[in-house]
Amino acid sequence: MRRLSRGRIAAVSCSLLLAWACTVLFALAVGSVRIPPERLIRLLAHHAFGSAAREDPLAAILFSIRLPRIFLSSLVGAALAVAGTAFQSLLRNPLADPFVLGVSTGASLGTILYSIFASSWGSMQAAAGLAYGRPIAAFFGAALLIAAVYFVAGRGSCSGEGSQRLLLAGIVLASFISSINVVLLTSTNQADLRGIFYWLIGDLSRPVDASIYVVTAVVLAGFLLLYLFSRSLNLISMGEEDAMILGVEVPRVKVSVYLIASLITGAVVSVSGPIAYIGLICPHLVRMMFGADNRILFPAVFLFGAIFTLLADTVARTALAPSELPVGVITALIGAPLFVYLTRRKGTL
Amino acid sequence: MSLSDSLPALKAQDVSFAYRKPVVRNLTLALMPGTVTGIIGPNGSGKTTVLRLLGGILRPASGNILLNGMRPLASLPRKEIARHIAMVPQSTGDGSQLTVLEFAMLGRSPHLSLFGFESARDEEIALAALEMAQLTCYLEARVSELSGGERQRLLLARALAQETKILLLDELTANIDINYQVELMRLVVRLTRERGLASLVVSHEIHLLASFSDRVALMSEGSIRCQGTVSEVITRENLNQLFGLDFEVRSPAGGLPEVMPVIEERRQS
Repeated sequence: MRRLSRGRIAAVSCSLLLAWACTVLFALAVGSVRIPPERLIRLLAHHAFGSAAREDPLAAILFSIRLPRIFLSSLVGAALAVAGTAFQSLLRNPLADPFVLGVSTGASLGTILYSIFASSWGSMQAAAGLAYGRPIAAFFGAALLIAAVYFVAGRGSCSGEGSQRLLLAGIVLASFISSINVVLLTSTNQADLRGIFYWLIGDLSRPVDASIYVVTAVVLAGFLLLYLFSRSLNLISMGEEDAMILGVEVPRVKVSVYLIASLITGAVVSVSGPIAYIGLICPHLVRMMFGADNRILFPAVFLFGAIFTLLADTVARTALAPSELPVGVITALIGAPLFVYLTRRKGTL
Repeated sequence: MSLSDSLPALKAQDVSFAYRKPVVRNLTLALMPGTVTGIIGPNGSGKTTVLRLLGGILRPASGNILLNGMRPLASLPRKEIARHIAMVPQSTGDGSQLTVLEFAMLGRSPHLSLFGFESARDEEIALAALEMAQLTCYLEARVSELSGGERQRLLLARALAQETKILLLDELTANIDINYQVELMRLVVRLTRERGLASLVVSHEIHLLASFSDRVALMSEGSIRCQGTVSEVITRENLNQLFGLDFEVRSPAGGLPEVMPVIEERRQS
């Protein structure tokens, strides 16, 4: 048996980082305007060495449209996959993910309410506060919803068999809040029904604004903090009493992980809308590849989630080009059959 | 004899605990280094709750539990407690997908730093613990493939890998063949003597505890009815009161009492 070492984690992370870099190059090249590989490399080299060919129309597509979107999809995918891993370990339930638990929908509600209030304050203040306000509002939405899910599910629903009740409460509350979201959006912004519809499924086609810096900082800090809890989560996923016997401050770890996972979910949902299946599927696939130890699972799932979502978004923007699909449609079309396949494979869940 | 040998390794002082109704009342018990203490009691008497209180899993509603005679358990971080107290629970939890060696290595967790990984030495300690529990032939097997008795031994191995001075064992010998029961209890006694451990064994097996414990406490309805040496406590009257059943207790000259329940049907036939 191989003991888990830093070397193995580094090797797995480097391989996935390389795979992500290859996916980025692929995603940069394809789209409604295809960029040939040699042109792509030339443009990237020019950009890297500060001699960008500004007059080249492809440079604008590459650096103003595709690169920010690739960054956004990678960030959103990484965050949702990591949050899913954290919820699954914590609840000892393979079905737990930010979408099923309703955290994503709660974050959407926070984002929508913030947008409504911000627009009523006036465009200047709204633009200034957008960078910080929207992710924070999304986090409060996510945190409030998870509190409501706990309240509905009742005592003893935090782990093991009781977590089924928690998931059920999450599904029920998420469908309720989704309806409120639709009512709020259609009653306030009837001009952009298509945009609303796309955002509610999960969409990465909107232009990236200043809030991306806040979201990036939150996701990276959240990921690092969750990584600190990885061994404690390993023990908690075996049972809370066992974890206590082996020295884990279970209540403190649970509250911290819930808050951090809700925070990073809220942050990315504020820019992408609630995207399903990433937090559910990615942890399972990565666990099958590299084992269930969270110390290797967290970095691997962070990168794998980025690759998975980047590929899904590339399909979303190219499959029906020049039209685009919301990324949530593609993740569901890939994720649902994959999940059925995984559940039917004995012993994978 | 050093000062630490004369102080109780773990001491409960007038400890009470209740869920909805009182489960443990006015528990006073001292676990001494180099001593095996047994708790005997019928189902529902509060034995496991006592073990969880002494392991710091539950907080007493009143009273104190002191480590090394002076440090209140409630004031210590869990990791610190796990470096001093190892518990063997009744089941292996959800670790069935781990290999036997991985499971035993979990016992090293309290000794690792936040960014620490198990070292070769940690693996050596886990392997030595598995050898003591006679499980080295199953190192690569999944926990789910083990029998009930083997899992019990694996839990003991994990606790031994914690390298603590206090060992709390909950129904260690349940689901185990009689030969392994004796082997395991011999191992517990040997380690207790060699390493100066303070061991507490909670069990239904009166004859085992009578044979291997240095001190015994009888428990019913959340209270310790009596405690002392095996010869003082394991008497026909005490057991009769505890279980409502007649026992034959034979005490060979200079030896430990031998206990056998008296079953009327057999006597009449």
